[in-house]
Amino acid sequence: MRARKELILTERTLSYRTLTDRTLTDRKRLASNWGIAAICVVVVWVMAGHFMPGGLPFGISLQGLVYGALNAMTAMGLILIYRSTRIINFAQAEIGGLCASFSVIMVSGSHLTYFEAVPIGLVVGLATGALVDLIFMRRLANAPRLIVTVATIGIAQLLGAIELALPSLYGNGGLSSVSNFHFPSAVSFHLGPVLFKSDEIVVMVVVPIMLVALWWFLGRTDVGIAIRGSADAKDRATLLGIPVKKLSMISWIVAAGLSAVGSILTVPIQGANVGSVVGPEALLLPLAAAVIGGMENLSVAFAASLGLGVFEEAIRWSYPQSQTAAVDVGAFVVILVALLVRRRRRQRADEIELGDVYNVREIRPIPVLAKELFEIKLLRYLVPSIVLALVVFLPLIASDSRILLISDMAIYGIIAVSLVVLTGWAGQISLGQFAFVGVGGATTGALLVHDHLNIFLALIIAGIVGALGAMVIGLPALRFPGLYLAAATLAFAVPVNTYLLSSKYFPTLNPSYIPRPLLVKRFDLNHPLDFYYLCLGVLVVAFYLAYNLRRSRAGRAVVAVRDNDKAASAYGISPLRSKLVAFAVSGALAGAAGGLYVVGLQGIQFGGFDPELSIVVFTMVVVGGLGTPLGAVLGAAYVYGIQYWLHGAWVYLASSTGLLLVLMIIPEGIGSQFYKLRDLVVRQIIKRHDIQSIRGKVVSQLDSDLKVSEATHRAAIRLGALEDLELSAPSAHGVGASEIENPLIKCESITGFYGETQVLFDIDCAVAPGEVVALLGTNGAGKSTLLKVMNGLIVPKSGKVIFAGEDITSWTPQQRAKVGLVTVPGGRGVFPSLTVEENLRLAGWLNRHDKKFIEDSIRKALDLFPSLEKRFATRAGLLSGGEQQMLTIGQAMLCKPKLMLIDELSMGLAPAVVGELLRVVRTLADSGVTVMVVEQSVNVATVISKRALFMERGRIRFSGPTPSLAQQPELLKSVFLRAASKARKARSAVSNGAAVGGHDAGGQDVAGPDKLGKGVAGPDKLGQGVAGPDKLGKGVAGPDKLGKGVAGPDKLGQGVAGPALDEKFSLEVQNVSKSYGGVIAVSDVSISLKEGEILGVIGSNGAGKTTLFDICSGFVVPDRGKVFIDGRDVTNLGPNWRARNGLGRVFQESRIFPSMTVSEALAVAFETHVDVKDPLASMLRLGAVIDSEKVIKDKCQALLEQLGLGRWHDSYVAELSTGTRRILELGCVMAHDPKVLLLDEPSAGIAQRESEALSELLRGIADQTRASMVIIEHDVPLVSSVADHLVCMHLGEIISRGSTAEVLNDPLVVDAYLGRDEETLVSAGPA
Amino acid sequence: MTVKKVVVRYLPFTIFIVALVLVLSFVPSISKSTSSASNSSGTGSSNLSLPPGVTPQLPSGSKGLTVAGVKCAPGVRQIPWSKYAPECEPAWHGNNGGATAPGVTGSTITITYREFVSTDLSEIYSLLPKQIIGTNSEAVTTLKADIKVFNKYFELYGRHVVLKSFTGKGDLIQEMTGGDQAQAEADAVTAKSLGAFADMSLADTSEFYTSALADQHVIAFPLLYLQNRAAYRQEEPYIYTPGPDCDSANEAIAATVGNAMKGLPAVFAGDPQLKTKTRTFGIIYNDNPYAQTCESDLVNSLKTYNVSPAKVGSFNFTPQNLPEQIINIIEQMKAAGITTIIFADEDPVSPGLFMQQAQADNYHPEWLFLPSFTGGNIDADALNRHFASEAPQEMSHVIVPGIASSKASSQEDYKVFKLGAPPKAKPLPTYSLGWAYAPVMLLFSAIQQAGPDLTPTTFENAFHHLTDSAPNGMFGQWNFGPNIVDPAASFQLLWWDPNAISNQDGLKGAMEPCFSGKQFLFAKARQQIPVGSQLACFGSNG
Repeated sequence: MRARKELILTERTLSYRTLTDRTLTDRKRLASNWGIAAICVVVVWVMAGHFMPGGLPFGISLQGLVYGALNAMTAMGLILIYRSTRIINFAQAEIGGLCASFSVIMVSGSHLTYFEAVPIGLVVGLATGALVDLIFMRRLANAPRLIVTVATIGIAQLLGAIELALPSLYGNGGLSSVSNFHFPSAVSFHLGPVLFKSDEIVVMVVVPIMLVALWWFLGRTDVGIAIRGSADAKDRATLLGIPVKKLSMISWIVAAGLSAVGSILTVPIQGANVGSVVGPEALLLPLAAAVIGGMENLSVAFAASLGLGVFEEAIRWSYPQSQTAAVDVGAFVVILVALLVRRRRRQRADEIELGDVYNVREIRPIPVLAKELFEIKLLRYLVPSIVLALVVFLPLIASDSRILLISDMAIYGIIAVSLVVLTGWAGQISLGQFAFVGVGGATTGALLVHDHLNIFLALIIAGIVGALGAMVIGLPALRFPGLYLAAATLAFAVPVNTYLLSSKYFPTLNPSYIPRPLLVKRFDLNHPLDFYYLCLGVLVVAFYLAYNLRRSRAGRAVVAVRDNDKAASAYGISPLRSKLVAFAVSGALAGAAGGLYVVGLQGIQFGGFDPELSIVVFTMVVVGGLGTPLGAVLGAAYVYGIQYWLHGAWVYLASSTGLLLVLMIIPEGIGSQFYKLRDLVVRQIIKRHDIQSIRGKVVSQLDSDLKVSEATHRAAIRLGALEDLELSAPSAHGVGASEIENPLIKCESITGFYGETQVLFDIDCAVAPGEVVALLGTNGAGKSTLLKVMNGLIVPKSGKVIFAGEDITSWTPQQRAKVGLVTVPGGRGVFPSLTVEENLRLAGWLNRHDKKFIEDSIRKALDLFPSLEKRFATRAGLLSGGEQQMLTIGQAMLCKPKLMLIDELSMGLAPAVVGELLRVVRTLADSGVTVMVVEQSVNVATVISKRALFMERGRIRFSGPTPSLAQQPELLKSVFLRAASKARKARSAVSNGAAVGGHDAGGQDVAGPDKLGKGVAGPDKLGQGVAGPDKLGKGVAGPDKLGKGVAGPDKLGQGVAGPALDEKFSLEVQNVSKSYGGVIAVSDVSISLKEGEILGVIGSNGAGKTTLFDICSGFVVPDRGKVFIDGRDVTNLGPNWRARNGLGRVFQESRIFPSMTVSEALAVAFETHVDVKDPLASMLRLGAVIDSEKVIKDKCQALLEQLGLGRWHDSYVAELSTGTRRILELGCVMAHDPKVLLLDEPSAGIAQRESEALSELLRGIADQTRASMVIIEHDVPLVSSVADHLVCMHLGEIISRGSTAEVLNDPLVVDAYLGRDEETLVSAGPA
Repeated sequence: MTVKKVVVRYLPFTIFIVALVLVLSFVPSISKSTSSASNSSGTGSSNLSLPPGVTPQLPSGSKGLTVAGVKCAPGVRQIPWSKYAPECEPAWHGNNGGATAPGVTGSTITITYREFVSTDLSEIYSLLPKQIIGTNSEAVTTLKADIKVFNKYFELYGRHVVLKSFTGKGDLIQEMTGGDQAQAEADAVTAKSLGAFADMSLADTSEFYTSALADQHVIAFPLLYLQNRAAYRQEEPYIYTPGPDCDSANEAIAATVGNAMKGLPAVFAGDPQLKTKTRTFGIIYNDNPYAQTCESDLVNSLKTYNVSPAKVGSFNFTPQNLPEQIINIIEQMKAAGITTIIFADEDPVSPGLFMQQAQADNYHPEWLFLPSFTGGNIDADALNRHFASEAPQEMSHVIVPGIASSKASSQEDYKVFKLGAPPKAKPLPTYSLGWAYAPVMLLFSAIQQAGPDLTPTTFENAFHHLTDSAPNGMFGQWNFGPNIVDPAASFQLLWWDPNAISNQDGLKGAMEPCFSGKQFLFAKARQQIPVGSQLACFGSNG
């Protein structure tokens, strides 16, 4: 039997394709794809030539290729910046425009030759790239990507201002002629109607060379790989000694150079726009090409750019009378189709790229307790009343032109509010918002002029049309991350302006004259004041609607999806629908604003809805503040005011500098300052009151029937109290640092801060050469911070760091890496988008000139971690957690480490993997490398280090031999010993069949190395040592439960029967399989759960556990097999549908909704219990919505109080500690009240003692909700204490199932997961 | 959600919506009569009665001395040496009715000037140097000089014209390409708030600004865009232009093509293979609504001569992709074997760009430009010399209906400027001087003709009843009549002679007239242009 199982394991191991196999397959597939693409191109070309009115002469095609190649230069620049910084650089075309202007000026103004002028233009381009990085990008290095993306819009405007001012600065007289700017060669040839001169020939030669050079640069050079790696993980790159700042500058220089070359080559062919701004339209086709290339693939983007070029010229050729409109419409259709046919691909590596890219911190709400105070109530009504009075009465004394100005500001304010909904709340970028204004305007105009409709009705219909338009664009685009919507909306904005809103094509829709209505036969809108009041009224309504939306379920859903769409889905929210709702509301508001806009203009004229206006309004909301409508309106007033009062280059200058200054100084926008003032006042008021009495009053007012069980309540309070304990533990000074002679590294009196919070207090510590030291401590103790001080990522407020006798306090991380101070970060320390090979190569950056060392070191790393060799060409983001950790250590080996700082070595890893890593660390230590390892697991610390430091609350409270740590009861009594003993018991259970887990279990001795290899029970011991029912609180899963739903028992050789047909399961998974590109993630897996049952899932990293969860919850569609919830086949339902059918999910990293407040996050979890979800009803704040929200609010408040989270009510989730987040997350589970709950490593990231309380909490939740649970957990004691039975997965398959003891004793499990290393077993505690 | 729940929860809202729909549907904001009436105001009736107490002007043809002391007699004009001044009006005394209209008081008539502003000004100057188009201060200086003289010479019934200039918020170039419409609206409101009866912003008058002025009931004299008569009439009684409008322009082009070009070899083309080829025509026009209408009218006019363009191309005046459009259109024309390109647009920049591209493509067809007051900008030697420097091989194949220039210093626009301006004041360049003079002359003429009760309606009525100009003036013939808002009535056919010495500035390169300088009337071009023989241009006798 055992031999057979081992054989199966071996076969499964071999089922992973080898590198060679995959490479061959990939190459074949690539060749096949390109072949198909080539055939398609030929077919399309032939068909176009046949069917298009003007045919498609070869000369025109070639010309299209030339233009496409020129656009490709910009597209490649876009991709390069995206790949290096993960932003869209909206200044890309403008940089090129500036270079071209300089070159032209040199020829026409200074009478230089072509060969003299071109280098000057290039130098300008390269310098511009460098300056952009130096001045702006470095300052915004830590800002969210949305902010950086918007900053590039400001940079584009700034460069535009320079372009505009350039001729004036230079002297206009010199710019009268640009006709001399040509490549000095008379070579030319005719192809059909097109004369190709030397300038075109230069493009044909230079651009392909540039493409190949760029491909080679990014893919083959160390610098190129480093640029990509830095984009993935900047801090990690820094720690490897990679000069991230220089690389960023190189990226910008190269990207600017690409644009410069493209623009300079364009000038002699298409002329120069000296003294004008390039504008967003110039970015459309390059951006479209880049989007088609997924913002990653240079070859595809280049091919797309060529295709778009030919497409554009073909349309121009066939439709000379409406070429602009035809091209714009065509480009839009192409982008839309590209999005529609694009398959949504979401892999682990891709997810890493998303994260908090577009998260925008909203204005912190007034604390719920403070709202009860009279002064606050007064302020809440008084301030808006004063503001309203001002905006109503001040215009009475203003001139007509000023009234018109503020009317326009009000209209722009409505548009700004629409963008707050879309960008601020939904995290989506629209670069075509003014197109919806245009659509709404045309609708209003047509209704007013042709149907003589009432203006209010016309505005409502305009809003509806705007919403419908948004949904049409949003449906294909919103299936993907935000960047795609940006591209789609920009593509939409252009043809709306040139085609849809042109009276040539749609005369009825675009009346050139729209009389201003007479309202109720009394208010003449021709009168500026009357029109202003109308605009103000609509703005107030827009404000009101948006505000209502945000504070309702619909708004919560929108923000939740923005924060974490997977978690939102898991609570029953449809991400696509939520995004669509936000976009539709945004479109509706913009449409209504458009109605007012055209009434104000009294007509729709050609070109009145230029895409650049969309950029302007986007700028408005960023300047004002994306998180609040009030700020956005202020931003609208600022930007529109600039446009009104300033002219020419000054507009761009003021707008751009305003934007950039705001982004760099107050990224929350100018509106946030108002709220800061408000918060100041509120704090002062609160200080004067007894807040506890108010709290009691608030709680007593709660009207909720929601009650948690006493056990759950106690467990939650205990877990929270443990957190508090960490915060309130007494301090002690560090000891031992001075006792070490000639330390390799020494910290002297280090104090450190995160923002205004002090996290390190007067730290003294030292590590001797060759020593292995463990740095222990609970969550938030400051361990990782101390490590960052040592490696240079954090500069201490005071104190010194001395390395090898040298003061390195002011050294950069790169300098420290050079002298051998190497860090192995916790969790994902790899560069996800790089292959394993590239990761290793990149790690050798400091020694890259020593080829032999690099080769030897890589070889050594692969020898230590053979699994990495098999996945040498795989993107690191696709590796399992364990493999990533192996790779991270492998990287460290290429840095010639003298001191290795290892952060959280065992976090989230399977015991067997931890064991493997420990062996490697020991090997390194044996080779003379000094090691300092940060751990939360005392077990790991015990087995690896001889000396330990213990930290708590930012202070070192113990320093000495690790075994002595056990003799510090004041530190460890309630923390480590019990857990350590529990771990020992777990091991004991494995070896002897003893009971697993139990809080009353005692024992002091930690298993020693002499027990290595012992205690692995044979099959004959199966079934022994299962904990009694009294401990688990329910009947223990007996052998009869084994194999439920297992369809492939023959594979296991166990002959276990499948589920009986008449059995009803809460969750049933039947024979599901899933592969990613050739790698089997899950194979033929079946599990089933009855009501109230708890199943633990263990298995090594990469075993397929999370994929199995993803299949269960609908995030991954299985290749085969079915999933049933309560007997209903949900295989084809999405995650949100499954959530509504009773499936709950808790994710691994406990991030839930970081930018939401605790109360809001909890309210999201009540999704399935919300009575009224209709966004329209929410916006209108109908009575039913008020009732529904009141119920949810009270339930949230009650639950928070019962879980001890009341004090965090208005805190952002991101501000909570991991443990508190866990409580909140489990509170969310209770709110969701699922029938089946999937918990993915609930103990990950929390301290050992908290883990114990967690098990009680889980058990309490299980008892209370009667939910069936599936728990993935590496904390064997935890999962053993909670689960009724276990399954163990390995390489995508279930290799064992049964009671906890049976599974833990299964030799297959021991081999594949637990390992035979005693230390590993001991260390199988919480990460 | 059950139906019952829906009903309960949404009933108030549903009732509200239904009520709103009903009320709003049956109580429209705009009555049909209001919207249609807005397009038919200002009929230009000739039988307008004076308000009580206002002293009427003297009957037409009355004798006496003008305010400047000129003795009125049959055929004498208000300014005797001007070919464009109206009939002589003896001095008037009495009650002018005071503030008869917005912008009019008992003693003043306010006109405004929006200063030329553009983000893309630098680009304009790179394409059309400042020395050709002038500056804001030169325009104001010129206007002030003209107004000063005309205030003295014209009978304004106790009032005088006051000029107020302001810096506009709108960007002219943006407005011309569709942008800054809200700013144009704001500028019109500013003009109104400054008390404007009329706006005289000369070249800085986009369609949006003009339209906004009309909405504010301020009279405007646009110069830089071409509309057909129907479009102008939609804005009555607020829009006037020295013209010609695009109906007149089309008549001139169609008659030239139909009578003297079609069916004949393209002898004026530059390419040898084109010279011998029977003419095929292509049209290039700006793809904005006004030019589209004009182009459509032109095609219809050509049809009456049995001429159909073999290729039509349009462009959008957007800096971002204009070059690409130009390249494509020239390639289209070249590929279609077009011998004669009719360039049906008026902006002063694009002709040069198209000709440059044609030259770069070694394509040298005949070019026929649209006439207008700015004459497709071809009838001014300084500007044409600029084009010729960029595309000499194209300019030497250009034909344009216009008026040949005479010596600048002897032209009446220059004379008036010298009379009114301070000694060292700098006028607009000679090319642009007439831009200021013609509308000011029209404004004063119509104000005088309108009499003391000055309103937009009486102004319009007066405009229609102005006396036709004397022949051979610097703008050609001006004719007036019912519904005429553009008095330009005659044209010459001109061609570019790079070797001729210009009358205007004495430099080499000038527009020379065909047919020995003969003028044709737009309205009678079909009859007047010789049929069946080549144009007598480029030194040819036809």
